[in-house]
Amino acid sequence: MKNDKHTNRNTDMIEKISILAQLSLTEEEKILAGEDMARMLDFFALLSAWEEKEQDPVESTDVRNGGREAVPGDSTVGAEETAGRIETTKTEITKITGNILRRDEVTNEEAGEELMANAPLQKNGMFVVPLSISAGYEEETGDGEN
Amino acid sequence: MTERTDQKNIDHDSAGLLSLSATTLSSLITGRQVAAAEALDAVFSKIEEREEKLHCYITIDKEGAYRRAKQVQEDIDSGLLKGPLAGVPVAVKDNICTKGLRTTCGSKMLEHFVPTYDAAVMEKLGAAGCILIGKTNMDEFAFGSTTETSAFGPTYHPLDPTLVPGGSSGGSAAAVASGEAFAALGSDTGGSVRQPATCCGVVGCKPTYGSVSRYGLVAYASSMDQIGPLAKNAADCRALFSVICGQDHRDATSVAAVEEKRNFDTFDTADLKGLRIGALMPGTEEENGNGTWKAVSETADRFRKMGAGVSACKTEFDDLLLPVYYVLAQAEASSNLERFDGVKYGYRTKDPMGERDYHEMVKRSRSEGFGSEVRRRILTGCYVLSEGYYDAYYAKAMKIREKIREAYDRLLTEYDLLLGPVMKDPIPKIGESLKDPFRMYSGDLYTVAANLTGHPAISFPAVKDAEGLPIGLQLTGRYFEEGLLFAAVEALEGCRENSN
Repeated sequence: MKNDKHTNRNTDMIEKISILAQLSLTEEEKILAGEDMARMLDFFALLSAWEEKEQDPVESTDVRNGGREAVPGDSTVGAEETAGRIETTKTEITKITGNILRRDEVTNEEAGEELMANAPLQKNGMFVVPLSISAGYEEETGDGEN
Repeated sequence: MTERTDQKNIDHDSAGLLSLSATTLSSLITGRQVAAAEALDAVFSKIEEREEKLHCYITIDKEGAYRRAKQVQEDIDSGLLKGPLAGVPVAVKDNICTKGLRTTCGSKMLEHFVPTYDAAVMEKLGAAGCILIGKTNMDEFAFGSTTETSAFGPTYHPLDPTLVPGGSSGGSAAAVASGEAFAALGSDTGGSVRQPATCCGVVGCKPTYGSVSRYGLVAYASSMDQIGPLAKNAADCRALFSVICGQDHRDATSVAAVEEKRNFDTFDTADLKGLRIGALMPGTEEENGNGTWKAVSETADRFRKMGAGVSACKTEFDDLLLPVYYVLAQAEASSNLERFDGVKYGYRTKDPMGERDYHEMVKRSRSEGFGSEVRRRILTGCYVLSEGYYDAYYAKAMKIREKIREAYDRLLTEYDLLLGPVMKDPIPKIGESLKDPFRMYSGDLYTVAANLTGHPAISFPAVKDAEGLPIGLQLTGRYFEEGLLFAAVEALEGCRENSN
């Protein structure tokens, strides 16, 4: 039931997404992609259903009792030590998220030719691409000379 | 040239050399008991013998390797080079840029791409005197966990050619396990170092997010990608990590903390006494048919014998790990892979339709250049980022990711280390995962958490199953405490040697 709904929705959806993805898909590929997308969204179902709520603290159970009896870790930790550790963790996270930035400058100008060597098509040090304005435009304006 | 030291204890044939760890080999090379070229000879004789069947490499640079070995030998002889990995032949995953040596990412899109610069980690390996053998096979753009989505064909498991070597750094793992390299680098976005290391029976580490520069690593999911070492043992992993880590102004996410906290050299295995380890015991013994459950409890016992306190612990959000990971990874991938447009570098379509219109050229180049798994992930990524779905998927996944990070942080204040499985299922057969990619995705269950939270994690061979195949486990630690991970695995290795 849910899958059917997904499949129908996705047939149209794939058309739109393939434009965003800059991919050209054959009719057969579109059908397959629609099926894949439906399965993918099923795979994400728990995420869609998730709602924010207060989480319970992590439980700890002793492995040697078959995981039945809840006991603290073998080596007991004082509240102070735990608080200290939480503080340390916070500092570490700040360190992780603190990005380093640099000026946006060209530093390898001289490597231009080398870099261009990987281009599929180039002329006089410039990338060669097909027309990016549609041929229809030329016809309409009669400006086909350029 | 000065005299060589006593040679009587070293077996100079290739089998003798290949049995050595990277750090032991290097100590013999810097002690001038073994020549750098001899180590290369051993590796290339193994490549000659096995590569045709295993297919660990996409590109092998034999000429460059010997040229480099000559230079390294000169630097060692003149006393310039002394480091713990000098002269060691290494393999590098093919998504890490190597100047003048093609870097394909396992894709037709980059089949002929030759980088004009070295990745930061390549500069560092070079400065340490490591010798690059070649570029290893991988899942296309690292999208996979079996190395089968490579446009250049799969890599086969060194112990059983009907099995996959894991992935996406499967070429690197198989190269180290088979003796086609002494150590290797891979990249880990959702388990791509730890999972193949587990399959192949070697040690693999996903360092803390931000500890290794990703300048020159072809991006997959930038908020999770990390480059990590794969090696024969924890000491080699430690040595490789200490070479490649450090802040780099060319990667804005790299952090200085790793340098401030170079305690990964100072942790001692004796520090395991009093250590608190939380054991993640998923399900029951019956549910874990591949022996993982037994491996966790046996390893927990070994830790206890060394004086550590081990108790079972539970993680939260287990059901949400994979959906959150796949939403975020695919969203980021679709954005990162937008740069492949057939203009600046990479594949361009030969289709005449593409010659007439720019947009048609871009679309056809991408559709022909990317394999099916890459196309699938780009499409999903675009979907979850598109208007109307962004909040339901991407934004929500970001929110839950933060909750997951908080939950793991809480756990890691209670415990010093978390011990748990790497793989949910036995090593897949070749061809099995291609038929059902969703089954492959579900196999990432135990590895993605460390990528979502940024914590360091190491996988190591723990036991062997009935067929003699390795079963690996994983240890996760606090930010920048890689040293403790290496020490803990070293202690287990020592304990295993003693019992043999």
